[in-house]
Order: sequence, then structure tokens, then C-alpha cells
Amino acid sequence: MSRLMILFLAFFLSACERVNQETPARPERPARIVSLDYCADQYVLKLVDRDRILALSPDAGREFSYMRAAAAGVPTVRPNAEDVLILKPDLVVRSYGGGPNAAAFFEKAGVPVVDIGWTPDIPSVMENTQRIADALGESERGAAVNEDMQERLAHLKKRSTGETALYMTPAGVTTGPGSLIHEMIVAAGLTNMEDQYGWRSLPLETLAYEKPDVVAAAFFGSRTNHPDAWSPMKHPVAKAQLTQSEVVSLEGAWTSCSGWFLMDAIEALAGGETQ
Amino acid sequence: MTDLSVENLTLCAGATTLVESASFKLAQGEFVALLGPNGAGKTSLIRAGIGLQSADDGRSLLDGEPVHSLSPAQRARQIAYLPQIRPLAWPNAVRDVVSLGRFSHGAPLGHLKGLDAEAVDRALEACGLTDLASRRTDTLSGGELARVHCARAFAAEAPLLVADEPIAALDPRQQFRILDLIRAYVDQGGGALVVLHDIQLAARYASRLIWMKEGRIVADGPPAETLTAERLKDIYGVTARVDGAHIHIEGAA
Amino acid sequence: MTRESLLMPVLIGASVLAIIAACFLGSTALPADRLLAALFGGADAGDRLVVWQIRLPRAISAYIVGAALGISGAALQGLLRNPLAEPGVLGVSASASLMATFALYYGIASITPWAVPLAAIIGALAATALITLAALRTQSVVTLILIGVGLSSFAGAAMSLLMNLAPNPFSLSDMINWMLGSVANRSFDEITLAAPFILAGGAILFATRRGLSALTLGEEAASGIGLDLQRQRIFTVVGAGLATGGAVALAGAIGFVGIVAPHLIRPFVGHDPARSLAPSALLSGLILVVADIFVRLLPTSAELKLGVVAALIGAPAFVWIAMQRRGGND
Repeated sequence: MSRLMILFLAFFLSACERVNQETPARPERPARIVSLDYCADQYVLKLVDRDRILALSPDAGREFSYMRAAAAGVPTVRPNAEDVLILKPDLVVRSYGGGPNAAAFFEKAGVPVVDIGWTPDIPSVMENTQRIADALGESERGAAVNEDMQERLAHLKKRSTGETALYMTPAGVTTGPGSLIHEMIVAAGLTNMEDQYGWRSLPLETLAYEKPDVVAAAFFGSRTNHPDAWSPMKHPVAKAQLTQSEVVSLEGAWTSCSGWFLMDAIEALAGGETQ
Repeated sequence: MTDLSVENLTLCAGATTLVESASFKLAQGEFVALLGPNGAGKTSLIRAGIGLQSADDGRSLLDGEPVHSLSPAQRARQIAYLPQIRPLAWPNAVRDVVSLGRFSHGAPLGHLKGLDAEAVDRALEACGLTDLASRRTDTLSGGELARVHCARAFAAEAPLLVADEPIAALDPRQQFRILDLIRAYVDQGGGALVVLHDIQLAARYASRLIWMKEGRIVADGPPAETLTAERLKDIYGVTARVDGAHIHIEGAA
Repeated sequence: MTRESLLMPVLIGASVLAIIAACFLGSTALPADRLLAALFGGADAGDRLVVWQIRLPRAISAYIVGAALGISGAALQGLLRNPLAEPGVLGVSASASLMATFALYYGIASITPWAVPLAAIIGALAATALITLAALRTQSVVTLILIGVGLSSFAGAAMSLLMNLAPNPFSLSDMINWMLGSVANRSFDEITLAAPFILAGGAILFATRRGLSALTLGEEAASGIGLDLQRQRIFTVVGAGLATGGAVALAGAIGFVGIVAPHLIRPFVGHDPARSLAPSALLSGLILVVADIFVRLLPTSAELKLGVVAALIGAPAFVWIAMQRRGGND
């Protein structure tokens, strides 16, 4: 029994060994950049020249990737540690790719990581863009993207008559205050019909009583074949909204990640007119 | 008059021959006992004879029609069958089990009326089950259960009855009761073919004995003619003395 | 028996009450007077829309799915002579789910919406036929249930595989709904697709119920009293397959529902399988509507799946019945 105890203690102590906690230094101008998911792909493709991109995520060319045209011909890598580390990158950019422990893992392996981060509103999107551009060594380009966004916002002809809008997807999900989608609706001058906080299922019963003036319909083009057998969107009351209200089609690529491209969505919601 | 005529029936299971060229007749008004040691093929003969199993050769005619050309319901209206193994899947009431005897008449079970209800009542009375009619079958003794199954067979009021070991594992009194019921049935015009192991009882009740050995019918006739000491030695391998209708079995041969 | 003659009227009355009670629940507060007005005439368009298009279809879906599983369960129990037989336990529901997801995720459903219930029925029929064939070879109920467990597991695994390989992206919540069952967001569109099959299956089972009573005596004697065994097996399999397939197409695979109701009904109908069919259907429908009410009342963050509540009630009942059996027909 005591020999077993000694064995246990030995294992226990070895597991308690403290790990080197230093974060690796980021290069000023990284030249071997790998991005782990399609949200990170957008920033990398927008801000960095192709010769400095080592690899993108496999989703870079998919229809929900805004910069898919620019992704053509760029090599891709599956976002697991083994495949990425073999390429010997000097910077990894990610939002969700590689799993929740990816940042800690890559840094332990000596590769610095840039996290895209959470952006609850439009100002934070712009701050984020600048931060990422700085990390990529392209501060000027980041500033240019933000300037463009500011200009478009300034010239936006908002809807001013207090119309209501509801965000609808084939999966039957909508959102109230607390999400970037909500901020986009507000920026376009509309009132979000869903007033309860956070992401939720379409409010079918509310739709029986009142209809939104504008339906912000996202992902309908790309996922028309999506089965989703229990989606509230299949219910006749929800389907009726697509024929009885004004429908603004939003491309999935505009809303599936946070970034400067949400301006396309805001402009579409506002009616597409600019001053 | 309904009659069952089995001609040269042969039944094989793989390489084993269960029944070979067996022929017999069963008519109304007869009490026929089918005797033979275990494994002689009695059950197989019965099952093939009434059409529950297909024979490999020979034929079986019910009122001149091949048994297999009849639907199960048509056949059931002519022959009431009491098998050797009698499971009861659910603990129904006695009356409900007996009512199943009217199944082939298209009766809506549970709401029997008219002729069907009367037949069930008659069967219950004949078997002494009127007091037990509402009891659940899982609360009955072996003897009572045997009577329930008999009542089920009688409720069909079919012209012929084929019973496979109806009195096995019963005490002597119950055995006599059941055989008395069958004899009453024959006296009222039915025809019964009963598989028995008790040769004494068979000789006492049956008007005809059919003896089987190793798949063949070796004798078919009244007890007076077919029941002899030699026969007992030949079929069962026992030494015995036969004294009229009394048999004294002395031991294994 | 006065108990038996009261059974059907009581069940019908309770079912109607339960469905109306289910209509009280929803995201908008609807007081009783407006609800009744919407049901029976009067009331404005919004109220009528909420009650007739949103709440009532959900309640009715739960009811007919329960009824389908209840009558299939009672019929399978009669055929297999075992109180533990049930579409969920025997893997029939899971197989139906598997075929339905196949039709849905591989684009067959885009050819015609009937593809989903038809595929579910094919899956259910295949599984029921398999179980019946197995029942011919073995008398042991334990073996049958093990085969059912095997079928369920296989169907679940195959469903995961198919969903992963599907050309269209899938959602995990959809898969969970297929495997655990839900009547959320059901409209009369889906009911119209499933109801004909449920009604046809139920009608076939009801019309051939007499033979199930005959099987009380065992197959040998049942054949002796005039039952055409092959015909009975085929009709029961087809009926149970149609009803279960339709139910799964509507609400996914819900298990154990078909065990509780027949077990409760049996003492009232003298343990006669034939007489247990209709009351079992009604009671199972009632149970599922009440379960759906619970699903919406329980203060959980995400709505519980109907199959979860059904299993919470039905699985203990399953274990209890299994322990009660005196090993008679095992």
C-alpha cells in the first residue's frame, strides 16, 4: 500500500510542475501569418499582402466569407495545432478557430496569437480593426478601413420614420438588444421589433399581432436547402412575413462575423440610398 | 356428418422422418385414443392431420376437402384443437378465455351476444366453471386451468375435437372429469381424437385405439382387438398382463 | 363492466380538456375569455391566429403523436405477447428517425414534402418487420428488447454519420430534436403530411385487433381457433409501421410512451389486447399533451425535449413492469 502511495505522490508532483508562462514576443511586421477561422481570414486578407500570408482557414473561400474572391489561390491549413505548427508561422490570427485553448497552446509553443475578440457595437468594431491592423504591422491600412467606415456612416440616409425591423434567419433565430445585429438595425434608423435581450427564437405569437415594417432576412440565399425541421421559420405565421413586409436580403457574409463589412448590411437596411 | 380422413401422411424434419405413411379416419360419434411412447410422432401426426403443418407427402381431407384449401377460420369451425402446450399470455378472466372458442365465428370478443354467448355459457357449465367465470386465469390451479382450456375447445361447438394430452399432470379425479366431459361431448354427437399416455384410461373411454411407434401407425381398432400384452411390449417395451379392460403393468421389458 | 363502459367517455373528455388547457400556454398572455372566444367564435384576428395557427396545432400534434405511439405499442404488445414491446424500445422510432433525416438532409425532401413521412414509414416498417421476424425465431422477450436496443443504437449512430456527411450544413439542435422528439413550432402543414399515415395505420390496427386476442392462447392454439397468423403479423406490422412512421415524421423519436398507457389500461379491459387499443391511443395522446404542457411550464433556460419528459415517466414504468413479470413467457 505504501508503495502505491509513493507512486501516487510521484505522479502528483510531476503534474504540478510549473509551466513557463512567458508570452512570446510579436514581430513588428510578421511575414508568416496563419489564420485559423474564416472570421480571422477576413482581416488577414483585407489588411495584409498575399506574400505575407502563409495559410488561411479552409473556409476562406466559402460563400459566407466576405473576402472569398481575394482568397482564391491562397493555401489553406486545417486549424489543428500539429498542421499549423509544422508551417512555422510567426503570427496566428483567430477568433474561434483551434478551440478554446488554442491561444494558450500556441503561445506555449512560442507562436504569438492575435485574438479577434468580442465587439458588441460599431465603435468597438473600429477599435478592433485598428488593434488587429497594428498587430499585423499594417496600422495605416487599418486606419484607412476605419475612415471608410466613418464616411459611409456619415453619408448614410437613415430611415427616419421609426419603422420596425425584425432580423430573421432560416434557422428561426432572431436577436434583441445586446448584439451587433441590433446595433446595425439601430444604425440604419430602424427600431428592433424584438425588445428582449439576446439571441432567441422567432416570436411567433407576437408576429400574429404585429408585423415588422422591414424584415432583415439573413442567410436565406445560401441556406435555402437547409432542412431545420423544427425551425420557427417554417411556420406559416413566420413565412407570411416574407411576403407581407418589405424584405431586405442580407448576405450571410455581411453578418456572420464582426468587421467593417457590416456596413454593407447597414446600407442595405437603410434602403440603399446615400446622400 | 363431418369427418377427417388422413391418407398416407408423411412428415420429415431434415433427415428425420417424424411420421411415415400414416392413415386414419375420425368421424363424429367416435372417441379415438392415440397411443404411443414419447417421440413416436403423435403430435406431429395431429398437427399435420389438421393442417397446422404441411405434410411432405400424403393428404388430409376434411369432409372431402383438402385441409390446406380451407381458411384457418373455416377449419376452426369444423375442428376444435387443444394443443399440448397451452400458454396464456395475459391473465384474462376465465370467461374471456373461453369466449376465444367462438373466435372463428367472427364474434366481437368481450361483447358476445346471442348464439355465441349461449355457447360460452354452456361450455362454462359443462366444465363446472360457472362460479369461476370472473376469476383471472393466473389465480387458478392446474386442474382448473385444464378445464378452462377444455371449455374453450367446447365453446367452439365444432363437430370434431382433437386434443393433445389434455390430462397430463392432473390428479386422478381431474383426469376422470375431463375424460367424462369429452365422452359427454362424443355422446352428444361429436368426434374426438385424444392423445393419452394412460393406457388404462384410454381403454376405458375410447371406442377405438390407434397405436403409433417410430412414426408409423401399427394398429387401429377397438381395445378388445388391439390391446394385448404383446402390443404393450412392442410399443412401450413393458411387460404386462391384460385382463379384459384391466391392464397390470409389471415392469420394463 | 361499468368501469369499462365509462373508460372511453372519460378519456375523450379528458383529452379535449387537456388540449384546451395546452392552448393556455404561450409567450403572449391570453386570458381565458379571449382564448375561449378565439376557439368558439368571435375574437379578433390576432387572437384567432395565435390560437388556431400556433397553439392548437402544437397541442394536436402532441396528441396524435401520442395516440399513434400508444396504439402501436398496444398492438405490438398484443402481437409479441409482451408488455414491454413498444416502438421506442424496439428501435422502430429510431429507425424511422434515421430514414427521415436521410430524406431531409440529402435533398430528397426538396422533391416532395411527402418524402419525409414516407421515408420515416419505410424506416419504421423495416424495423418492425425485423423485430417480428426475430420474434418468430426466439420466444425470449429479453432477446427482442436487446435487438431493439441494438437497432436504436445503430440508428442513432448512423444518423450522426449521415448528418456529418450531408451536403447541407446541419444544426446540432435539429439532430437532438430528431433523437429526443419535440412538437415545437408544428403547424397544420406538418400535421397534414403526417396525419393520413397515422390515421391509416391506426385504422389497420383497429380493424385487425381481434386476432391479437386470439394470440393470448399462444400461436399454436390461436391458429387452431382460426387465426391466420401470417395475415395478422403482416397487418400489425404494417399498421404499426405506418402509425409510428407518421408520428416520427411529425415529432421525432419519442420513446416509452407506448408502454405506460397500455399498462394502465389493461386492468380496465380485462387484459384483452383487442380492447386495449382504442383506450391506449387516447390515454397516450393525453399523456403526451400533458407532457408538452410540462415541457413549457418548467423553468429551464432551454425548452426541454418532449422525449425527455416521456422517458422520465416511461422508463421507470418500463423497469417496474420488467421487475413485476413473473418470468412466465420469458
